[in-house]
Amino acid sequence: MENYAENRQDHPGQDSEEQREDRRHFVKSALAVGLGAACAAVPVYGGARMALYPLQQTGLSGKEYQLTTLANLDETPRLYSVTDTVADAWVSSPNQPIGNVYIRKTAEGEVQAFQAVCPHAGCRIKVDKQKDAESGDEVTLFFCPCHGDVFSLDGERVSPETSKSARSMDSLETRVDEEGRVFVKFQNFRLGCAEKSPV
Amino acid sequence: MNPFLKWLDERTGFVSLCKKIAGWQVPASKCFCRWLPSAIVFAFIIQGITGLFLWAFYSPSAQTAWESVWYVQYQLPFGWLVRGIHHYSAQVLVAMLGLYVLGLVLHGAYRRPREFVYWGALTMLLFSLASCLTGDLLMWSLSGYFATITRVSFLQLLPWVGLPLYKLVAGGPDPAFGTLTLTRFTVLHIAVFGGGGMALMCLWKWFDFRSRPLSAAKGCPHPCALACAETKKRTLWGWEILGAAFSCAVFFAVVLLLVFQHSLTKEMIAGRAPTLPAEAYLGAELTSPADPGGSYDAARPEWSFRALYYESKLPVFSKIGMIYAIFVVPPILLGFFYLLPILGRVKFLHYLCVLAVAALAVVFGLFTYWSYEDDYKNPEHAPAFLASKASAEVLRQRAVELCAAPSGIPQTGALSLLNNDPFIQGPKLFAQHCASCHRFEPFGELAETADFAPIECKEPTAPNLYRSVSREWISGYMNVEKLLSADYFGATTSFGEKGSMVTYMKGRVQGGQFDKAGNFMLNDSNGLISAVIAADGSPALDILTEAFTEISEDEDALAALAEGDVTLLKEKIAEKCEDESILESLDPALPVPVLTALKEVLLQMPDDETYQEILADEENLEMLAGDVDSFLTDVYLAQLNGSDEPIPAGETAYIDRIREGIVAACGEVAAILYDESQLDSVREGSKRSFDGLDESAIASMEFMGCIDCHPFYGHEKSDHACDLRGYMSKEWLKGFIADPTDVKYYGKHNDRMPAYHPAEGDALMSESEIEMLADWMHGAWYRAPKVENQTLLGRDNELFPGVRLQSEDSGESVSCPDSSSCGLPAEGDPAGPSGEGE
Repeated sequence: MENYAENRQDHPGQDSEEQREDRRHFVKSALAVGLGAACAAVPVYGGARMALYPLQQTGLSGKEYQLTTLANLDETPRLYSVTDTVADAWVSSPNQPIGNVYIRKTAEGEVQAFQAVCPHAGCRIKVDKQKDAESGDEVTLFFCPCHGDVFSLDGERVSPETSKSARSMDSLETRVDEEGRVFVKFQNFRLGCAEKSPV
Repeated sequence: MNPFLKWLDERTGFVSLCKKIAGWQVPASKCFCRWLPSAIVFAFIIQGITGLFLWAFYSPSAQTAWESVWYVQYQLPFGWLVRGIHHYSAQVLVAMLGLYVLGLVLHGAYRRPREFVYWGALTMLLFSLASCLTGDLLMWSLSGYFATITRVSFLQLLPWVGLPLYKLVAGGPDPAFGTLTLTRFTVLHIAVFGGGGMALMCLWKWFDFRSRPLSAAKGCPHPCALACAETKKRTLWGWEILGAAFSCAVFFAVVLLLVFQHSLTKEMIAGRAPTLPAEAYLGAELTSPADPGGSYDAARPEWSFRALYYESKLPVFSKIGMIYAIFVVPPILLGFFYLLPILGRVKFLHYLCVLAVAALAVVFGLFTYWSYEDDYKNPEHAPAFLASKASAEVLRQRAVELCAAPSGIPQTGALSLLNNDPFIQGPKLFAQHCASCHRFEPFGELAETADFAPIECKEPTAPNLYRSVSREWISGYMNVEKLLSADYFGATTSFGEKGSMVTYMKGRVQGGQFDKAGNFMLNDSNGLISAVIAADGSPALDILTEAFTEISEDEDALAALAEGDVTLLKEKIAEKCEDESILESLDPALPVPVLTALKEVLLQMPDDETYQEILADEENLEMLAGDVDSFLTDVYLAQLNGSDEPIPAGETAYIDRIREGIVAACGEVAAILYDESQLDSVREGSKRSFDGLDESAIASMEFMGCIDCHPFYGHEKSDHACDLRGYMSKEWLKGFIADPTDVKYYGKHNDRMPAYHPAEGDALMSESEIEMLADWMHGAWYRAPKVENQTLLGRDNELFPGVRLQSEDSGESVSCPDSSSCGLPAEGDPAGPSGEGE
């Protein structure tokens, strides 16, 4: 009686009664395991729904922020901090920084805005002066200190073939109203991929 | 054997172990209590699962502990379920462990060779109780905080080590608990008592397995956990395991029943507070955030400690010392329980022990029952206990409303929301600072509303301020009787009987009074009624003079009057009553309701028999033709005013009509003042006509004489009485409470009211407190949107995404006019818990 399986092997001809008992036992045990699992499933399901809650939440919805005025801009990009009321878990805090934006005005007077985060691995991009390899002139460029990516002031990769970043800097939608106030639609984008898709 | 299983078994031995376990022979007694150990193990597993998920969201600090539990209970999907199961399954686990230990003793199964099984179970019970104790504080709620601080304070009873022990447990020298108390209680709860309990459970099972062959070998009559009348043995694999699973299911059903205990019937669901989400009535209770500055008289231990609580309050201990109730009697009993297996070796002692344990169980039951009875039934203690519970419920509901408000919880924590809430703090401040003089209870037309609960005042000597920022309350000023009642200024020294306002109202606004016979006596010309209809210079005289002058110059008209035909006269009066140039020159200028009344009176006069007699009299007509003024003042209007003679009862219709007009004008003034009370700030500008206030409003104030004493727009120089600009508005109230002796308010006439925040000197209230008080009097606090037709789980927590639970008839509508201003953060917000349901 110690082990039914071994018993069966030892006496292949006489196991019909035991086999039946075994089946009955199997049904009962399956019922037992099912019942126990059903009970345990309730807290597990609830807990999983709790733990997976972040998947239901969406991040920034692409709100517009007034960051500067047209008069303050020139061709050199300037860094602006975006602040908003941040809901961190249960705490709701006003005026918290949520990101940084480079804004510049092109020679044609067009306003450009870029996410200050490098689309490669999320480092903060800096504005840097570098010597042009051909002419030797000093040019102002976007420069990522982490992996050395260089972007032109239009946000394009200077050398797409060797660049670590799979795409150019993430431009942001801008709007200038009649009074010259500059609004930027702030968004975060998925890092590392060639396609620019909002998070 | 399957090659994979064979490989697995060779390396690990798991397969053989499973087979061995499946083939175990267990006694097949018919006693239900042999299933208890399975349910106990299952309960520990459930505690582990739910505890782990809760741990992932818990944040132990004084500003975040309650908030994170709130987040779990109200924001996370099914957080209430996980938390509810964790809380109630702990309670059921303690009960099961208690029954198990009791069963071991009563069945004699605690004796050799099962001593360690018994000791293991007993220690497990202690650890579970300690887990309940430490877990109570973790939610940092009002009830848990004050219950735990009392328990821990008992440590101070101990000589020498008491105070250091207290400091060690509390994590600091302060008597109040704080973040460090929470961090160490978290470790105690989760690692020491929770994890320790789990480890003990494994040990206990191990001892149990060890004892089985020993029992069999020694032929012990009680080889099973609870050796009931055993007849035969069965293998575990089969009915036994099904029975064990069934016992787990029963345990879990009880837990679920407790989780849903406040939402079991439709009536319970319909009876929920309409501003609270369903989670407020599901799972474990979460009282308002712990407030070290507050109190909670109804803080009680869990049911499992109720017997100890009752024991500690026995009168004998107040005589010999509390230390015996906490640190002598319980340890002695515990020592007795631990010594049982050794005492039980002697058969005679075994029976004694069983008797003693049975007796102790009865005492435990009785003490527990009496403790509840004392709280809920004892006429001496129950009212205070229930009142304290009720006020805690108000706080709990308010905390939930405020946390769900669009502004959310600030970094300073949820307690600061309550501490800055006019609804909660207003009545407290009023009771502290105002209720020694001011009453605050419904009176007259001011019925009780849910917004304001009455506040007791033992010796009222100042106005009853119940709903004082309301049309009804302000209009009380227009009635001398009310003004002189205790609800207004009757009990004050400078505004009562001899106060200038009362004197003024008596003399002027009332205009006259009835004597005992019901005859009416006009006051002297100060009275407003007299001022409207006086024979010597009044609007009535002005209009009639114009009309009668034209009649007197017209021969035909006079002849018609002589024949009793008043048609022409009536036409003339009607014409003059509409003549703008006449109406504009009236002195005093009449507000619309009074003018309307006067017109009616003047137009009815010619039809009146008394006046027709006057007109039919030749002498009178001669006088009219010769001297209109004398005719009017001596004869025509004199009838109305009756000089010093009382006007007989029943002949005051004209007076009454004028009075009605004046009362209506009083209503207009009250309306103007009420409008002032609703202003955010005093109106800009000083001209008579500006935003929201036209000239007729000023005219009413002028007619009533308010602005002879009170500063008002265009009459800022009057300064005998308080400023009526923005009267009773929040700004006005704030300034008034801060310093009523300021010239803008009562100035030197101030009765006895203290200056609560004067420009110089000590402040009795801070500015923010005064602001809360003013906001509260205005009923200006955050109001949560109401949920209509509550469902069992509320509208956001569908059990499964996409499947709607139809537990109630309909009930998906939320009364929320504008989703952006709606208090429920999930409302219309894709980030909320509702997002996945659509």
